[in-house]
Amino acid sequence: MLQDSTRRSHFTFWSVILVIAIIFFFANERQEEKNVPTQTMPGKVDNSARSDTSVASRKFTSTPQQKGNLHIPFSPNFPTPPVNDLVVDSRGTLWLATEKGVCSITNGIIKEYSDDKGTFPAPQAESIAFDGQKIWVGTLFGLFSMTRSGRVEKHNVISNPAGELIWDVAFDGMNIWVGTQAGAAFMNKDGKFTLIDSKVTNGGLRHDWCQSILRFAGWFVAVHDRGISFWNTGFKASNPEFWKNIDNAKSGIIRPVSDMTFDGRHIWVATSKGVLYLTTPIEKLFSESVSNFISYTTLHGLPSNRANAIISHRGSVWIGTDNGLARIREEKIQVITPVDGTSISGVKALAASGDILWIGTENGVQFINTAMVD
Amino acid sequence: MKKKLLKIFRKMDVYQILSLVTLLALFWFSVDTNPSEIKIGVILPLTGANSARAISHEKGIMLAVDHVNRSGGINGKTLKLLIRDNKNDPALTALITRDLIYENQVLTLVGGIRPENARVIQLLSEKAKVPYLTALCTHYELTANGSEYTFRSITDDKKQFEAICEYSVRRFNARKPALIYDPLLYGSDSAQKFIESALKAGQQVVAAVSYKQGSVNYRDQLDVVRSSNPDSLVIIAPPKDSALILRQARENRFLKPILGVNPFSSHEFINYAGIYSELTICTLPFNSRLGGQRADYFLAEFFDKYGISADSDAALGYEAVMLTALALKAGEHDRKMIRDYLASMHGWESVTGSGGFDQNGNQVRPAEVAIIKERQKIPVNLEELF
Repeated sequence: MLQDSTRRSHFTFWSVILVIAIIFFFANERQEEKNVPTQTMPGKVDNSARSDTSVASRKFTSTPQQKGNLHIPFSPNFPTPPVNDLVVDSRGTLWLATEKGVCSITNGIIKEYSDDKGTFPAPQAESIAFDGQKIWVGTLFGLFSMTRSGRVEKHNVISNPAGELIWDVAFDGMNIWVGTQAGAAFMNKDGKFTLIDSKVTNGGLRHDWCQSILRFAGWFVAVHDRGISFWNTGFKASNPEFWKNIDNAKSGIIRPVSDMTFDGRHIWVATSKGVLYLTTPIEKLFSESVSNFISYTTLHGLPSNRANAIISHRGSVWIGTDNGLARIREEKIQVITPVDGTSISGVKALAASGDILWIGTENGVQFINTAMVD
Repeated sequence: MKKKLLKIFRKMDVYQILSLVTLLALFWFSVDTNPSEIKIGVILPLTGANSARAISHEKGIMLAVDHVNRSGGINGKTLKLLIRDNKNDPALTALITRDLIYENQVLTLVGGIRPENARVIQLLSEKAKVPYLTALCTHYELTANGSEYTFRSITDDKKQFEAICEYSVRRFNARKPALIYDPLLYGSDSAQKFIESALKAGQQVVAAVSYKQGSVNYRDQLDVVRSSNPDSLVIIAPPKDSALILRQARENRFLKPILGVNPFSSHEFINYAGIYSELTICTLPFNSRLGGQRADYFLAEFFDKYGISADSDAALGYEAVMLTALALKAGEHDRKMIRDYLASMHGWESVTGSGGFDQNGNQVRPAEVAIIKERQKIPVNLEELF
């Protein structure tokens, strides 16, 4: 009899526990159901992560705000070796500079050009550009041009052996420009390169190691070990009066700088410690003695401080970081993540073509439709 | 198939067979038949400016490799050094680093003195995910830029500046220091860092002047310093330049305290400065008393091998290889594992005493301040004993 009562009390106790567990389980389910639609619906902004942050900094002139996370569909990953740079040619083919050489993606078909396959002579392709006819690839072992049919030609940029280390390639609609370890250069009509280094510019270009270059309407910008040099290309490069320099020590730029972009008026710089925005408009660079930077970091909502790539596209600035993709528009930062809740990490390169934004990572390439963000 | 091969062999004459054998032998020896070596790339300015420090550092590195290999190597494999002279040229440094990483396939890199060279090594090693350990470059930014594969086993400039500023306030009540800095080894960004450290310690830097690389006459800089009426002078420059500035300052009857950082503690500085080095204050990257028996053994072995006494650069080179060897034991052929092991080394005991890497790969050891008396560097806490 006594045993029966003990058994009954045990039964009652465990029943109560079970009922409580079931109630908790369903309560949680309901909570999750409530959360799911806001995360999976494309184009819906998740305001739960909204936070207004500000940082006291000697160079701050305004307070950037975090707008929140945005979940949108990402394409499946096209697996390739780690990507360093991207460009889309006039036929819509995506070209990739990778750690193994070059890749192309046309209609979802990946073609690899590498030293292993005997189709491209150099690994460690750092940068890539398209001049309307040929693909230009800057590698740590020299500059190469490549036709669509796969014919590769090596170009001698500078007689200095260090000129073989090509850090950046750009096409301005007229000429190919390169940033090397031993200075920058542009290609003339005869196919020969004209060198721009600290010697020929009489100190205008403060340092020869041009890690990142930018060329746009009347300006050539080079990021190097001492800071940023701006050259007004309407005047001779040999006249240092037409160069403007922003010094690392004075401006607080942390090296290395990985990428640069121009949004039509201002320069944006991606660094290992966040993104910098030069508040001085490019046309006022020579008239304003002090150039101020606004800094965007994780404190303002960037997914990581290590910004590897930056491009300006349709009024927004897109930033590829070690922990994902972000967009800055009207001083507000949005982190863009896939709808399935996964995160995209190790973003190394970005390229835009129409509404499509290509995202190069350590594992391959994905794309998003930027129209969904707007 | 076999018959066909036999037929071909039968048709061949002696010379053809001999040439075939020679070809096979050539192929055999051209292939790397010695995978039992672990390659470490060393990049130092063995010629030109800073070469005295680099050569001393190299000696420490070679002694450590000897010790590791003599005691059985790393898991049965011997260490092999690939030493390259970068001549203080960043462009050459880039070429050397590229070749060491991609052609020689080194597992780790050691070296770099000037920050502009160390940054080139860092960028390439970070890209290729090759662990890079510097034991000579003290520029604060090297481990403050979010790097993952860079480590520094020497106390950085920031800690040295803070130690010097605090000490000069405590000992001399120096509130208005003047600063002379070199344009390359330290540069304007380090000068800026010094000014920040001085402010923290309650000082106001009254003058900060640089000079042209290769200068031997510092009268202009000293005139600026004198006109600003400082109560102390801090020199952050390579050993030879520091010694020349010090000599000229003292010859011009600048009698206030003169302080410096690591270069003041080098043999080169004391040799050039001579009697003028007396009572100058410096930071001490290597204090053999802190290293205990390990340091005694190292100093004795160094003297036996090279016939000269080891300085701080040699000790730091020795320490760098010993730390690398520990990481190699854990990682062996995997650069990521080597990196992870180094990153986990938050505390160790070595010839230079206790040390450790913080979360940025920077040395946690605080800077030690010393005074130079009769050409000897005496830690300030032991000064009364001497």
